Amino acid sequence: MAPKKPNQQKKAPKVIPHKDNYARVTYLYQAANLFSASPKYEVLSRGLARTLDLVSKKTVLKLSPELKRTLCKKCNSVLIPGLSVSIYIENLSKSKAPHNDSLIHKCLKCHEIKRFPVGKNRAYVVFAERDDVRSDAK
Amino acid sequence: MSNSQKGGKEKKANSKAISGSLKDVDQKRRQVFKPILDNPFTQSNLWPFVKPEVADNIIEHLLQILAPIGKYNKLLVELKQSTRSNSLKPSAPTYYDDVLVGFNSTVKALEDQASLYRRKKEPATKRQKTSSSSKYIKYVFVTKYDITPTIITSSFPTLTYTSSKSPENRVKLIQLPRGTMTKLSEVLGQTNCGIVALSNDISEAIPLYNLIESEIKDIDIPWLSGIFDEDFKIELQDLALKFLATSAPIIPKKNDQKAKKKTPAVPTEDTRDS
Repeated sequence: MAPKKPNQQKKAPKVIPHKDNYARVTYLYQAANLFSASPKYEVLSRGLARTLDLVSKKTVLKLSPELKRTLCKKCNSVLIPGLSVSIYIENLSKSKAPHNDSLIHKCLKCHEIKRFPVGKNRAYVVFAERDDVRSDAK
Repeated sequence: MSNSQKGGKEKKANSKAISGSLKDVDQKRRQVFKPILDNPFTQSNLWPFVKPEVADNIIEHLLQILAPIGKYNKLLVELKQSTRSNSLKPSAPTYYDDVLVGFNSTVKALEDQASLYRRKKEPATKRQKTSSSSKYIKYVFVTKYDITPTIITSSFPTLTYTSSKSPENRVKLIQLPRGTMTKLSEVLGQTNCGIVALSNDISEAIPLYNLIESEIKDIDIPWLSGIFDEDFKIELQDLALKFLATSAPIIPKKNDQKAKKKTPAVPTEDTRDS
C-alpha cells in the first residue's frame, strides 16, 4: 500500500454555503472604502464598516486577516496608509534587541493602536497564506 | 467476575471517547473546505515589475549615490570616538538631507507628504511644514524579498500612491531583488538597511532618475483613484473567496435511524466472508 500523499487535494466545493452573506460583506466593504476617500462621507463610511463587522459576527463568516487589518477595531474607519493610518516600528526594550521590534498601526481618527510583534518570528506567515491552503477564487 | 467488570469499563470508555477526551485523538477526521472572505481589492500584484537587468543597473547607480553618505557617517562615528583635539568636522555630502534611510524615517516622510497633498486628516504641524515644503520624496527603494514578515512592506504600494503629488507626478516605488539589503547595509555602514528614499532634486542622481522614469511604471491602485479625481466611479469587484483546506472530526449522529439499521448488517457479512 502506497502511503497517501499529504498534499493530495480534493476539488473545492462548487456550492458556497451562505454566499449571500459573503456577497453582502464584500459590497459593504467596497462601499465603505469608496466613501472613506472623501471627508464629506466619512461618517457614512464608518457606519457601513460597522454594519460589515456586525453582519460577519452575526452570521459567523470567516474573514481573511488581510481584510480585517484594513478596518479599525475601535472606530471602524477604513485604514489607508497615508490617509487614515500612521505606521511605524517601535522597540520599547532597553537593549533594543531586534526580537522586540513591533510594527504599529495607529488609527489617525481615534488613535487606536494595533501592534504586530514582527520581531518575534520573522518567518511568520498568516494562516490564510500558507502553502497547504487552497486559494481557489470561487 | 473481574473480566465482566473490565468489559463494562471498556464499553464506558468507548462511549465517552466520542465526546472529546484524550482517547479520541485517533478519531477519524475528514477533509473540509472552509470558505474565507478575502479582500476584494488586489493587494499582491500592485508592486511595479522591475526587469532583473534594470534592477542591477539601478543598484549600481544607487550604491554610487549612497557611498559618500556611508563614508560621512563612518567619519562622524570616528570623530565621536576620538579625543576632542581633532575638531575638524568632515563636510557632509550636498544631498545628505535628500536621502532617507530606514523604515521609520521613510514612512514618516511619505505620511507627511500625504497629509500635505491630501489635506485630509490632521493639520500639518510646524515641523512637517518646514520639512516637507522644499523637497518631494519621489523614489522609494524597498528590498521587498529581504524583509520579513511581509506585513512590514505590504503598506508601501498604497502609501506611495497616497503620498503622490498628482496623478502625473507620482512617487515611484522600486522593488530590489533578493540580497540587496546586505549590499546597501555595507555601503551605508548600518545594519539591516533595506529601505531607502530619495528626493527628486539630487543633481548627482539624474541618470538614475532617467533610468527609473523610462523603465519602471507608475504605481496604480484603481480602487483609490478617488483621491485624485472626485468624480471617479469604482466598479464593484467580484466576490473574492478562498478555501481553507482543514479537517473536521467525523461525529456519528445521535438517533440516526438509517445508521442503526445498517450497523447490524455489517458483522454478519464479515462472518460470512471468513
